[in-house]
Amino acid sequence: MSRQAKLFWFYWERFGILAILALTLVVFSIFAPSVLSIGNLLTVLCRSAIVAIPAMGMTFAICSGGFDLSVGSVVGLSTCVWAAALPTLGIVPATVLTLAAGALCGVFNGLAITKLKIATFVATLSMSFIIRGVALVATDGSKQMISRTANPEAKFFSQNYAVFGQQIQLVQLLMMVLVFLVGYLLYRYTRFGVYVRSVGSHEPSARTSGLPVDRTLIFVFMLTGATASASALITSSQLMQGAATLGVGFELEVITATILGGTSLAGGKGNVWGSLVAAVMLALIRNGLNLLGLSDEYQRLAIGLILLLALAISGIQELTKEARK
Amino acid sequence: MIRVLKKVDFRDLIIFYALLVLWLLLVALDAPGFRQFSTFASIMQIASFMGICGVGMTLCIASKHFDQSIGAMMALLGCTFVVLLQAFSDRPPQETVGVMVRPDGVVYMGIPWQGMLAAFLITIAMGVICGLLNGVLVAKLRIPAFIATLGTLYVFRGSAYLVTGSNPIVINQVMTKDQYGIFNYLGTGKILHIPFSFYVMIACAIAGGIVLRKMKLGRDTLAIGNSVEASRASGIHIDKTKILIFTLLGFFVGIAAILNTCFVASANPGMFPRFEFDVITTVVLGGTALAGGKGSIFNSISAALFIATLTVCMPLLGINPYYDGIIRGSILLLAFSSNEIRRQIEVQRIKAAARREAKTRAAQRA
Repeated sequence: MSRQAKLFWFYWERFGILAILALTLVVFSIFAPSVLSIGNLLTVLCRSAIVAIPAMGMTFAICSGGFDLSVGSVVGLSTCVWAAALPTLGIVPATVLTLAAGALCGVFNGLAITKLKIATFVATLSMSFIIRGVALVATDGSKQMISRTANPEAKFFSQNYAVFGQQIQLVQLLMMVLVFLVGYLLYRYTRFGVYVRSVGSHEPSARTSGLPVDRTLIFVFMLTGATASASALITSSQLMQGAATLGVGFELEVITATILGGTSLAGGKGNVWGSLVAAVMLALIRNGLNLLGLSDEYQRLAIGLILLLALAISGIQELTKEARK
Repeated sequence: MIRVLKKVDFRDLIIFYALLVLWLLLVALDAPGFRQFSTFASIMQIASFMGICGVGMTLCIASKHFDQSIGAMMALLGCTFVVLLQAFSDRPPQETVGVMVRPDGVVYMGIPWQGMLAAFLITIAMGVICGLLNGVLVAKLRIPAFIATLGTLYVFRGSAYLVTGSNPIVINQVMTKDQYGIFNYLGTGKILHIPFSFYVMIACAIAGGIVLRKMKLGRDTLAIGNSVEASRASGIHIDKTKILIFTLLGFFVGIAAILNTCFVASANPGMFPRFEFDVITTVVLGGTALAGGKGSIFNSISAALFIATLTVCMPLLGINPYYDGIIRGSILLLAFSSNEIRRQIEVQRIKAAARREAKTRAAQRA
């Protein structure tokens, strides 16, 4: 491989998603210039929080060599917990309780993986059945409505605030920024981040070197569960309801964002900022296609094609590496 | 016969024993309606769709891959099938159902038999092409199967919505009563009280078993599942095998999609939202290791029957259907933790033995 090619792949791995985001912006600026208005861009940025926040947790999960298929079910359960707890407990305890419920689901995931030695895929898949089942049984399959008059504070997470003359959903945006700052610091500057990367690179060697593999994995899945709950808070606040059926298939969207962001499914290599940019890009595509009058089916198709395109490019990278050998 | 039986490792048939125990338990509990043929027929009906896809998925998982896109593929193929029937019919679907004579005396023919045959063949061919696409992405572009099929999942699901224009389509609107009878038979017909689709599943299972046990493709599949490096060193065409496995899965999904469309007599682009995980659950419960290199079609079919029995019989026992997920998840967890639990018990036993040994030694010395 020539030096230029090496340099290209070096930058592609780190900033490829930014290039795709820029390309999307250019395409939309030609076909739907209204996408590029400041107000709309800010809305997109705030909307992307729903996928971006759990994508941060998922980045850690995938970086540690696994993935979490129970995110969608945790969202369903968390909306129910929040909607049920809010009228009696008030907003702060209810929020804390919801985040704790998500973290607890994550702990169960982690225990199943580390103590019972079940493959991540099967463990999180069966936990997703169980978590959604628990939510369905607890609510008897009915929606938990939050009353607008009795609990106006429930709108806190999705309220519009005027900032610089624009109406934006500020709390969501701040939550997303906060989560990613914490995530980046955890990933880059703490011992935990190093542990996650070493477990993801090669678990047996991490174990032989005496790293607390089990504790790290449990904490990783706790993080994923808690971020999924945080996203559920926003969803629930927007819809003013909690339902066990919310978030079916949501984990796929989160995994898509994480993978597009440049986190390798092989483990050991994560890209926290990439996940954020990818989540924003997915929200931008949905928004732009909506403004072009293209419905959900085209949005799915577009997301699928972009994912395949990005994957094909990294596939070409693999092929050139093999050719070098 | 005895030679065949000698070859079978009876320790590997745990899920089959579990199925028998479950059935005995249901008989013992005297679940209302369980002893009727109709209940068994509906168990077989549900199991057959999972089982047909499960045959392909067993091969896929045995080679250490898996396919997330088959739920979306089922929806796309089902919708394609119905849209093709609509296209080949001379009767406009918006007129009243069942009326085949226009007021001005023109008699509609419904669908000519060539059209029917073409619809079947094109749908199966579509399945093969979808599988081929997955296979090429995985084998030629070196994309991990998990995310390659995640991408095609979006593409297939989106295409299903595009094909139907986002509306559910009903199958009987475009054909005559006789023609509808044929399709109805494919979906719900019974031979000797056993649903037609169950026979198709048995045929698919036998074909899959022959591929897995007797043919080069099956041996290569298991070899790749065991170790890609070793199979490359021994000269197996890895890319070709991978592509063939995914193509075969697409073929089976095509068959299942047609049968299911005939069963529910309609197609809806949003159907089968998490079907792939149901199929993966059955295959994995059947003992096919996600780590690859091991697989048994018979066990996958037993597991499909096991899950279908749970689905059908829980309402019979008066259990709230919302417990379905909890029970299914717990069974999976239990099945997969059994190895580790057994190991832990063994470790405890050895430790206890060692302690006893040490105690007797100490007593002897004293």
